[in-house]
Amino acid sequence: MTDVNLCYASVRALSELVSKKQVSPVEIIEAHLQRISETEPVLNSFITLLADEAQEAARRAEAMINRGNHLGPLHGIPVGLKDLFNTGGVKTTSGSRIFDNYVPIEDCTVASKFRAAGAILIGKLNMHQFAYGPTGENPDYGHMHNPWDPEKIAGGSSGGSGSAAASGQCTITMGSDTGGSVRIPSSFCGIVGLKPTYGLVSRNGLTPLSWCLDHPGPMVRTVEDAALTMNVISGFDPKDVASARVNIPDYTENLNKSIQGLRVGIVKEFFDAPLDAEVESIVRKAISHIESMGAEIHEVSMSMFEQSQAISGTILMCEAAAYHRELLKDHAEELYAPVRLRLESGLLITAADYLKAQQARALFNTSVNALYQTVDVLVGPSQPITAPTLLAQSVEINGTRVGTTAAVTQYSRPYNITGTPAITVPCGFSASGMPVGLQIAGKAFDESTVLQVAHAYESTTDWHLKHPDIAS
Amino acid sequence: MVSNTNELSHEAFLYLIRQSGIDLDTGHDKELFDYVKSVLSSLDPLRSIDVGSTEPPMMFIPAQEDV
Repeated sequence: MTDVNLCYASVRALSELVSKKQVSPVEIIEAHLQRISETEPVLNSFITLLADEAQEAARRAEAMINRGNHLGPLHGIPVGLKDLFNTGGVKTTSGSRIFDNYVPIEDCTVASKFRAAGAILIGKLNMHQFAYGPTGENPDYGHMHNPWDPEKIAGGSSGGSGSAAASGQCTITMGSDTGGSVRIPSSFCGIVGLKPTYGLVSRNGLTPLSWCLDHPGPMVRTVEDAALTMNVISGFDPKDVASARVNIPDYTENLNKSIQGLRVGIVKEFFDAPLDAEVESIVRKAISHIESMGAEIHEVSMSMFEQSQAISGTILMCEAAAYHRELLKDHAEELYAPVRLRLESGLLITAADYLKAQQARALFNTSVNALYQTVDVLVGPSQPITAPTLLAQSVEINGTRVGTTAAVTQYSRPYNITGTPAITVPCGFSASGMPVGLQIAGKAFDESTVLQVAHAYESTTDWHLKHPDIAS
Repeated sequence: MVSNTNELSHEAFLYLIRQSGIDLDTGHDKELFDYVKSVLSSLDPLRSIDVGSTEPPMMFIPAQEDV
């Protein structure tokens, strides 16, 4: 027995308790199932809860550990996967009733890596239908709700992953990020979300939204938990044509290194874009905090920022339409209306426009990569607003109405275009009690520096220690 | 035909939709037409970019055994 709140303990804390046999994986899973039963009526984070399977896996883990076979930090830790990660023998819906009976034969690569590390799959998490939307709406399995205020969106498309990690339903969750779908719900739910470099985490066995923009990534409560998760899920996979052959470091290695003298770029255009005054104030305080730790702050210009929505949107719409074309022919009436509109309209964008977007992407990437000659990371707001009200088509930012999708993707899309790593960490709360996130982006395959800066910030603040009070 | 939003007539839209294999009911037809026009106008910032002779980052590399 322990006084530690197992549902909000970090991976490291749980792992130490488990390895010392002070807590059993069975107790950890039981605590989480209890938490889920208390909070799920409000949050709706899960599409499939695997209570029996998780309890059985916990008993096996306990037996292994009792035999002295502890597999590492994730052994016995509850994990939830967005319901577009294929899981062998467990239905995988991609957030649509059309696939309510689809049971994959094999695990996706990420699921099989978690399994090999001893992590316990506790359930499949709710998501915006086919990952095609940033707000966490789902008419088939119910909308996702923000743990800090259930009237607000959890964000999307990995909304269930965001609410599950923030509410203590899971220790680790996974999302996928095509235009911000890891970072948007992470920021809105007040957790840590990392979109790794494209090719670093295998996409094998994930339902695609856009082949060249999709990035699977961890959604957790601390930066160290993100690093520990990356240690397990990263690496070359011959089953993913875009998988990168790179050496995988220990992502926890640099976490405690000083950021003294590190060059931090502040993108001027991010602050010229629509940005809520209260959010801006909180983010600027966070940047000042990073500066107070010895980092050098440099203002830089992302000259093609204004075009990033059009570049990313064109590529995404065309690739999503191409992938789901047969679905549109056979199941259009069963799709969520906004998703159907997005898919159908993607079919009408010309090949020339798609290729122009790819040409522009090359220019965009050249210009952003050049910034890293003068800075080590780019830091700014994760979101221009706090989580908006469910189903709001537009939001007001400093007196101006802006479309919700455009607003909530404006700071995330640039790093889907570049394919480079970007993390969001909690950096404060609005007066209304909603979380605000700070985004830290870095060079390709330089997750270590991104995590180092994020950890330096996190370890000298206490935003990540605040948890929502969820009325059941 | 759809390179400029202003040029997309309803007739052209219906033709392209049929070519795409989409079945439209009457109510959805109007909704989709309006949506497509807004999507195409959102591409204007893309069209204004001078990409010169930049190649798209989609290089095809033949597999070793194909060489």
